[in-house]
Amino acid sequence: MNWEIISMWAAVTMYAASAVLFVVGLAFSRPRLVMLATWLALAGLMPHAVGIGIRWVRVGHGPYLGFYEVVSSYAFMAVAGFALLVWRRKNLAAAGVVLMPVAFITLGAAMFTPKAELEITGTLASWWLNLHVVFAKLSYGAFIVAFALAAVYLFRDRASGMLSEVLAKLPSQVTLDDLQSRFVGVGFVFLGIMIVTGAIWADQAWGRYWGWDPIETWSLVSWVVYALYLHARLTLGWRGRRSAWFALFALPVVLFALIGVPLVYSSIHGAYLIGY
Amino acid sequence: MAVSRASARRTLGQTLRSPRLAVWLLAILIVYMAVSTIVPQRSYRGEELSQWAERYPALAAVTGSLGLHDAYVNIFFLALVVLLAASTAACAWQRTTRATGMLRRLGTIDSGRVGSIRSAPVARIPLTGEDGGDTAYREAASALRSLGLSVRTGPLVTEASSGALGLLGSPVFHWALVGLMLAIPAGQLVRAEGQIGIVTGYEKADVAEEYGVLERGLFHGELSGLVIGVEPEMPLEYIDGGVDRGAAPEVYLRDGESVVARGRVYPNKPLRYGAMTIHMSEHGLGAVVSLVTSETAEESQYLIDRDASSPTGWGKGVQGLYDEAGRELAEISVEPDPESTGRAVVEIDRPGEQTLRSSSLGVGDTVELMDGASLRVEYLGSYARLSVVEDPSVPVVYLLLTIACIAAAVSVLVPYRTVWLVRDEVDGEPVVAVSIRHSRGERSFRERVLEVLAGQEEQ
Repeated sequence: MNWEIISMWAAVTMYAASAVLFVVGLAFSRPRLVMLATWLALAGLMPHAVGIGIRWVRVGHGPYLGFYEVVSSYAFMAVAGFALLVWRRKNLAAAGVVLMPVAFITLGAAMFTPKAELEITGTLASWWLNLHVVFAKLSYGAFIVAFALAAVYLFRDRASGMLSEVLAKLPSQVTLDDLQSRFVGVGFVFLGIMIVTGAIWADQAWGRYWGWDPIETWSLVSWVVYALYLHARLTLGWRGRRSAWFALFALPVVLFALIGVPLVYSSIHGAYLIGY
Repeated sequence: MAVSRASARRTLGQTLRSPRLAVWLLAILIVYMAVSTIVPQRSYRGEELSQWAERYPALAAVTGSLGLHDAYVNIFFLALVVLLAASTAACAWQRTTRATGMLRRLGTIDSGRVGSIRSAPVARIPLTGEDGGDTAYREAASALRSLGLSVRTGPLVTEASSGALGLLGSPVFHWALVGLMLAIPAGQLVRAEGQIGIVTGYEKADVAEEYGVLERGLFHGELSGLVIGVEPEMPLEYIDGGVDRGAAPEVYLRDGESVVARGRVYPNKPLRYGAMTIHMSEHGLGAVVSLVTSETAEESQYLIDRDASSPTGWGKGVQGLYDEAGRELAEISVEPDPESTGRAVVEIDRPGEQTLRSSSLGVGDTVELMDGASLRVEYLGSYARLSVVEDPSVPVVYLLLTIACIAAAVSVLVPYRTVWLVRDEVDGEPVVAVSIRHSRGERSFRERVLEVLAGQEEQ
């Protein structure tokens, strides 16, 4: 019996149920369903962690080689970020209406991809890889949470009738706006550290810290996009709706850098996603 | 004239400090970098360039004339970086003067500031109580501690602020970015990077003539002149920590008679000596052949790379044979014997004469040349192609990157926050006028402060 796959499907099921309950709970103004959805999401982290852990032990490296491992671990980080958010501010649980469908779809999609067990090569065998990957996951997790907060902000901005009454239980729009910016700020710092650790690792492995390889370039593009977000917010006063739209449009750039670039371009960095 | 120059300087300063300029520059940089990944780059995907030009001739004419195939060394990109560096420096200067001013004023307040807080506070909170509001004022001041602020209370004014460190994050981050925008291009000017192939068990001098490929920055002087040697034994599947590291030669650096650095070299484990870093790049077959005359025996190293089109799977190692005036006397090539493993075939190609191909040769075998000279096979084995980089800017770049990361973390995670409470009277009733500042402009901080103060009032 493959406990890894069973655990992962259990997580997918819980995330799916959580996503449905969030939508139904908010649409029909049922706070208890929203609470149940939150608990289901948090409970789903357990089988997800078990699945990742079993594979980690078996293949001998962290979840960073191949599409299945990479995408599944980012879904985990997004839900973990949601857990952190709810732990700090319980009334932000409604952000799950955006986050949980994203987590369910990404993990579900990962489950249907080949689960090839890629081996650590000489180039990948470095402590800098661990730091690079940890900060990548932290930063992308933070950006996904910022995306969800921005979506909730915009959703409430336009909501009316019964829905607006439900959403009134959320923290104020000002708080949502500031939280979104904080998550972007944290993600920006972590993404910066990811780029720096990657550069040091590249110097160790190949003798150059930067080579304008497409993945390097797109990770810098992502960083500059969020620098632009922070700059526009702090110096031009882009807050509220503008800032939220920016956070929404910035995430696809990051996701393209992570998943799209290795699929579109041939790159010496391709090993982590498609194994060459 | 002096006035117009000063005014021009002022205008330039204002333009460079303009947040709109910074935003536009960042937006242009994003678009430029994104485009550069669509167009093949000479330095990165150079081999695709001609195919791309054939497939999109009209587009290639435009991208070629704009220099987009050398996106990161062309004049447009360099101008963009210079402008961005100048804008960031102007912004950093502004932030530095503001931060140092605030640091100087920490714990003090002048009458002008007190007046402005009283005339335009964020909020006015009544101070109730029989003692003229003294207790309520002290309790309100004390409540600010719950926000993680350190509170300094005077009879009329209270200042509550976070650590002064938060003031320095943003200016230091911006200065570090300016430093990086200068240090990275400067590093390219003093950097040298080359590929040198050395047959195992042999040595070569670190001089330009020995390199197959060598790129040197404009201000890079001579190469080190040290001797780079590769020990005879080179495992092709070196296992370390349970991971196959590939071919891993043991490399040493010799200065005269003394070895100054030595180590097994494989990915993630280069050999370092001063500003020099040696990485393992490729490996292939290697041969050493001597040109023996009645007086001397001069050794040459032949490097043989893989060639899928050849029946042996290997290409040829080629060297020219020159006279004292530098004229080429012959081209000598060595290739593996397709009939016999561990043996080689030597070809001698003289201008205007038929190519002479030897029989199968082993170590110690010779091929007679004209005028009593001969070629003798000294060694048949492997060679290691090493990537040798000399870049004194790397530690500076790493230092600036570290400072930038720490400063950005400080700026984002511990923003500077300050709250002023100034006692005042409205219609003869005691109140406290509140002023709130947050370096990242978080409006929820204002809500939080007012909540805390209101909670205090309710008690």
